[in-house]
Amino acid sequence: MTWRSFLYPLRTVDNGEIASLRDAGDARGLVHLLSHPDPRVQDRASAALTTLGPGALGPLISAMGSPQPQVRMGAAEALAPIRDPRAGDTLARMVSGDPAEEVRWAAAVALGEHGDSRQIPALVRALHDPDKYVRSGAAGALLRLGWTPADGVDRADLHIALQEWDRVPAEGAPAVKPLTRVLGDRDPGIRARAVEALGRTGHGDAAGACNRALGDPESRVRWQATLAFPCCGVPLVHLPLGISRRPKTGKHPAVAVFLNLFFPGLGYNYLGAWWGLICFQTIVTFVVLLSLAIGPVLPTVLQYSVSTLIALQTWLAVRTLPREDPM
Amino acid sequence: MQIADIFTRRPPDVDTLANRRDIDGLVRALGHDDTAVQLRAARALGTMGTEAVDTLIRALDTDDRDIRLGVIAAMGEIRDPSVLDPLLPLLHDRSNEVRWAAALALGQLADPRAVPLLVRALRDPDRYVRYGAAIALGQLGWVPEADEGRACLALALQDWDRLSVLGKAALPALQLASSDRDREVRARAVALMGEIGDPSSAPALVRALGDADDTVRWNAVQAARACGVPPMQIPRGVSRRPRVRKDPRVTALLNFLLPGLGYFYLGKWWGILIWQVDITATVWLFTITGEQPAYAALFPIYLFLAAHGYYMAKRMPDL
Repeated sequence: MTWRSFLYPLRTVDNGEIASLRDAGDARGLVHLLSHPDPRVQDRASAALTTLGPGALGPLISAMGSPQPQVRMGAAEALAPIRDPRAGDTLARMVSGDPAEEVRWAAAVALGEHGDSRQIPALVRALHDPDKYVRSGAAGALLRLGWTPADGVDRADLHIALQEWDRVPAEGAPAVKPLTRVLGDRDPGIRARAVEALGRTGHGDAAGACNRALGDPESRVRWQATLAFPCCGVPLVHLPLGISRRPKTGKHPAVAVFLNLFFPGLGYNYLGAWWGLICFQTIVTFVVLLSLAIGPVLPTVLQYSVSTLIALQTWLAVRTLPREDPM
Repeated sequence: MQIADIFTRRPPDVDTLANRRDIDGLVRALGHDDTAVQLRAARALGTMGTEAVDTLIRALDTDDRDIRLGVIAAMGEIRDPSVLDPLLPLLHDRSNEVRWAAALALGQLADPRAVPLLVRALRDPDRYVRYGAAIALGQLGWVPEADEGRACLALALQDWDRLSVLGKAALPALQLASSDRDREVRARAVALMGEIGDPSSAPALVRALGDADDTVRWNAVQAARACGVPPMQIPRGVSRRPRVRKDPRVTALLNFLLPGLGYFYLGKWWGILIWQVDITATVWLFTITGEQPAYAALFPIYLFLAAHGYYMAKRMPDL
């Protein structure tokens, strides 16, 4: 339940109300319902808007300025069947510039439904979108519009967007740049598949991406890179150096000791013990209350006596921990 | 030695208890903290024969899950027909571990009267219980007569290849699995519905589009296309997933009013450190410089932290 649906639980909209808005051609009223907390109302309002035709174009284009993603998404759906160039232009702008991933995705799918081949360049650009759903929507729309990739780079982009990983390495050298681009994808599964595909290209240009992949925060991507890049001419002896640049997740004993000395308890929290916070807050409260009662000197001395003991205990405990970060 | 060990009870001597045939003592040993002790006690109880059955049945009436699991294991080993009746209701127990253990014990009991309830357990919401029921049914020699039963059995055994071969007949089982608690099961079920490509899967797939797990959602996107869900409905379905991104406005507000706690809200443990440093600095500044200069010095920092927290939350992925 969203906070909005919690605040407006009683505002119900029935099918008859939506039908009467549709029959009256009240596009603004229907657009307003796209922000209703009930998803079923949103669906019905969106479906009703699609039946209004070009008459709804103005309110739908205005709805693109709404701060609510579900309104913009509903408007994108409703623009798809309107055979007006302005609808296509608006959708193309959304594909390129909307801040919400799902709106860009919906706009890409809508462009495919809209069927205006003038918008192909916007969809081709969307194949480079950082979000896999948007890329997939753009690829589906391009196929629907009968687009044929001009060269190997476009073909590789299309295969990557459709996650047809087995077909990417066959593009050879042109696939290297698109594959290197998706090494920055948020989905570790995609990064791992991209690294694997780079290895299968066996092309020397792929070696440039080696350090980036070896330094990936995700273990399986690093492992794929270890297997893949020797196929691209990276000397085996260079791999440990590359992998040493990965983000370190291990805890440093000195940090834990420092924290427990000056913020007693937070060192334990740093080491992963949730109760460290409670320790810290208890000690702080105790020191403050004692300071109010008897002045600051004795509580401060007490606090540092306790925190020195805690820091010492921490040092003795953490020095036996393995210092290696998992590769 | 860890601090917790001070409070731990001394382990009972299971071998001595077994030699003395001290059934009550062995049941008590099932509740010991050490799993190795529990296992030895359960094994020893399993060798006590029918003499232990009454005590074991009485011991089931406890809230201690470890004791109940040990008792069920011992009942399965003893294989006395009189434990059937106490074991059958355990297939509906609140604890999934107890249901799983009961299913396995019923299999060892080899009493065909357990079959109907075990067949029902093939639809349990927990995959371990389903698996246990499938194994038990195998031990009881049960063979499904219809495709629906075959599909449920294959799902319980997580035999995805078999489900694929069953085709449309597997859809009811797959729809059940598409709302399983385990995300891996949901992901596999949704992908298989896509492979089968039947439009009747559309409602389950639209629901799966809003799944909390990214792999399930992605599989649902592919499957929804294959099952004829209109492409325009797919982004809307995904937009109904539970949001994982923290609200940038909440982050900014927290960092402005309680500097550092906005970072803590984003999952950064060091946010609490910033907060405590801020409290100390504020108290110190108020004492040294007075109220107005302290506000003048701290206000820009709070604004900066609010803006930084806002953009930090904004940059977090939401799909």
